[in-house]
Amino acid sequence: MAEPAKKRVLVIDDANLVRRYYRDALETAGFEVDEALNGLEGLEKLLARPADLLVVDINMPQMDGMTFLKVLRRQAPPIAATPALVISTESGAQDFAAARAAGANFYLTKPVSPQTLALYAAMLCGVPA
Amino acid sequence: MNEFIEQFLLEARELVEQATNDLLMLEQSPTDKAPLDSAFRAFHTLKGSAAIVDFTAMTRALHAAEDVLARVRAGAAPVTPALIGDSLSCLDQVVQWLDQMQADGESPTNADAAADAIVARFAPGAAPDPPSSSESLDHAWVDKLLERNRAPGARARSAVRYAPLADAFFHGEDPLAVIGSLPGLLAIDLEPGQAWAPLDGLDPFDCRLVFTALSTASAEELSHWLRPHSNVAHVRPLVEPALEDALSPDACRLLDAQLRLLGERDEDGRSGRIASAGRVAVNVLRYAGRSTEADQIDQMISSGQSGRVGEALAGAIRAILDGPAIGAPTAPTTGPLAQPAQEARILRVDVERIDTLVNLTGELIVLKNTLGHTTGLMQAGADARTLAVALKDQHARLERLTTELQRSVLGIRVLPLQHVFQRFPRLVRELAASVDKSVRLVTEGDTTEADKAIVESLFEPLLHMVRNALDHGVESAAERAAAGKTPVATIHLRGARVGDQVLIDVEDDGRGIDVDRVRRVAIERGAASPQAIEEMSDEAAAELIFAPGFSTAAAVTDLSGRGVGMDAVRTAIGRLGGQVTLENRPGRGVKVRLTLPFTVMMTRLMVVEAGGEAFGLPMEAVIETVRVPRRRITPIGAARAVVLRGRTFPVIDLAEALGEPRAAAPAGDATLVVVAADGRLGSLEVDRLGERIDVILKPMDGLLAGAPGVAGTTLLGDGRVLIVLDPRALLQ
Repeated sequence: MAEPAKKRVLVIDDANLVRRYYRDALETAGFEVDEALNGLEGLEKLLARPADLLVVDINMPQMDGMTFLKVLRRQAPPIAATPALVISTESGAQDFAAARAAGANFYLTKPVSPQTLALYAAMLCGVPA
Repeated sequence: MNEFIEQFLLEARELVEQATNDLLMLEQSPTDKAPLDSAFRAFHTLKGSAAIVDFTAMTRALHAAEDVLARVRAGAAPVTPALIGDSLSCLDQVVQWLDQMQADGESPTNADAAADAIVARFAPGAAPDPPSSSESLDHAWVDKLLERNRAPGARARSAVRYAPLADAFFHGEDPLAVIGSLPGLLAIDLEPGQAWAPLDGLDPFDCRLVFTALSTASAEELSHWLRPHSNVAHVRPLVEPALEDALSPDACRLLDAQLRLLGERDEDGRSGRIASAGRVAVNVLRYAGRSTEADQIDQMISSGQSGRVGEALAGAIRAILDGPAIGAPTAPTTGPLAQPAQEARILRVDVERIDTLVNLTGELIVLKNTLGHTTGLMQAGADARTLAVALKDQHARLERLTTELQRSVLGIRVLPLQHVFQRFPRLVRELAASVDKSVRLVTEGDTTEADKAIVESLFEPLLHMVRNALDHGVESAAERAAAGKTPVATIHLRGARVGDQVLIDVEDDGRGIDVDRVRRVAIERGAASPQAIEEMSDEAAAELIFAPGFSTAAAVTDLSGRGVGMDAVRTAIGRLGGQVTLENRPGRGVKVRLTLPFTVMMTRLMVVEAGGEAFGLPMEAVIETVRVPRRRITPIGAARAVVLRGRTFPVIDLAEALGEPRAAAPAGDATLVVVAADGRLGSLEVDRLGERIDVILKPMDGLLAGAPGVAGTTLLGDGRVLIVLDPRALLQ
């Protein structure tokens, strides 16, 4: 029988290697992956085509992750409700709190293993285990 | 080691511990459902994890144990000591395997024989009711279905068998639509229900097919869905219903994060945050296969008004995280084994404690900035008096902050005594059996907290004390009966916090210490002069059991009497900065009390020898150690100095500085320890350098409190007292 439609993840990170790494991990786990280089591009892509999950970096040129999240949550539903996973090198409690205040659903600290990323993506997208 | 295995080892050990506790509790109260369920779940989870790391031998062994426990759960088999024993030895084997994995970083490959032995142990020698033939038939189709659909089978929670009646089409039943619309459908298999009739007799409008299917939905949900066809459809759960409710720790973490997100108060983007938290909660539940709850929350989000949704959602998530009470609510246990408090698993730190730390760090940063400001003033040539006032104020603030910071950080380092207490029920059971005595262990106050370093070092001393109580204190059943005591002896293991001290008692109701015998043995072994021993009070004589090398066991038994006695306990506790006291009640038992500090600070020392004595130097003051030819040490006035890398250091002869007699001037190279304290540098000449050790430093008290040059004392592993020097005083 036909596989259920793949869940779509939009990876927003300015580092090529990081995007590539996430793409590999997520595609291996059966996700469809799209990429954006910064918050602004991420927002454009998201508005053009909804995603099931956003994987967001914090430090990016043009529009950083925090600003992106704040703008995202101000959008009209259902775009505003898109789950957002922040993955950043910042590991301080205040960074977690700031990302949460901006509207992140969860926070992982780099480096993230492919397994962890796939697991959290599956949970955040509601792919049955 | 691969991350999976690491995680597996961590979890597996916790599960083994959990299962062990449950089994012991079950043995004490065989009719109690809670420990049985919990043990079963632990075995089940353990088995599942073993399968994840591809450790088939362990999976098989655990499966055998789980099967037996499942029969007990179903009321088909009783709880017997043999069953508990077999299950415990299965766990022992598991621990052995885990140790091996820890060492090798992979699953052992030679585990099959051991697994076979365990499976054989559990093999139904007295097999209660083999499954009836209809039941095994019932299994056959599930097995076949899973066999053919391995990949989806791993995710399936239920299997469905649907055999429409031959005239189904004429009753308006569309079999394909029925099976195709099942929720969570993963795979469908089609088979003829019976051998095909010869072509000329075949009625093409008869439905002769049997459908089997796998689904991620729960059996309950599917049964509900198939209600109109209940006469021709069977649903079988593939997952234990009690187990499918448990959310993984990761899922809980995600849900918890949504709760916090809902707690954000900023109006800007609030509805978006709530909607996303709701979507994530629904998705996590879908992921975990709890579609009913997922649907409920989904509805709640789409129907409610935005104002209320946040709170309702938070309530729902909280309810899910708190979880359904599995089994009957546990009655307060009055039994010998108190219900172990859950979650000794990860060192959990109160959020408040973390918040305090975050706040303190913030204040420190502010203070750092003020210091920068003061430096600026200084550079600008501000008046010295003003600067002194500012600096004094900043110093006071810094002092307050660092003290608070220290207290908060120490607060994180605490562990409940349960961490060490929980290992004893099993040990006591085995030790008692090995000496053929009946003993029950009562643990109390295991939620009492103490410093991690202390809790983690308590096991050995406590084990020793418990062994002693069992071996020497507790009498045989006959002896107890003659003394008019209950046949089962009791050993109490008790923890309590009093002020900044932690008290731990090991108390038995045995025969007590035979003081006369202790006196005799002490004289025999020359622990003190016979006269002194005869003159001792009974209390003091009883204390002789702490004398080094003392052991009264007439015959060396398996338990105690291995050459180390209570002196080892006293030394170990002394090293933790604590004391051991004894309360002897002849004929009624012994109470040994450990008095320990609540917190300890470990200090790293370098041991040096000077004038034939060993001393400790705090490592934080030691810069380096060098050997220099003696001729390079040049006298300068009354003092001496050495030039190292172009810098002149005063040389202080440690033995001389401490007033130790110095023999003739030593020949050969001099060994120097370069130390720094309070911004001064100097070098200490020593005879020899020793090991580096971590110790708990006890400040000097009493008469010696004011002794100059001494920072404190500590106990060495061999019981000797080491004096720790204060480099500051030496350099002055």
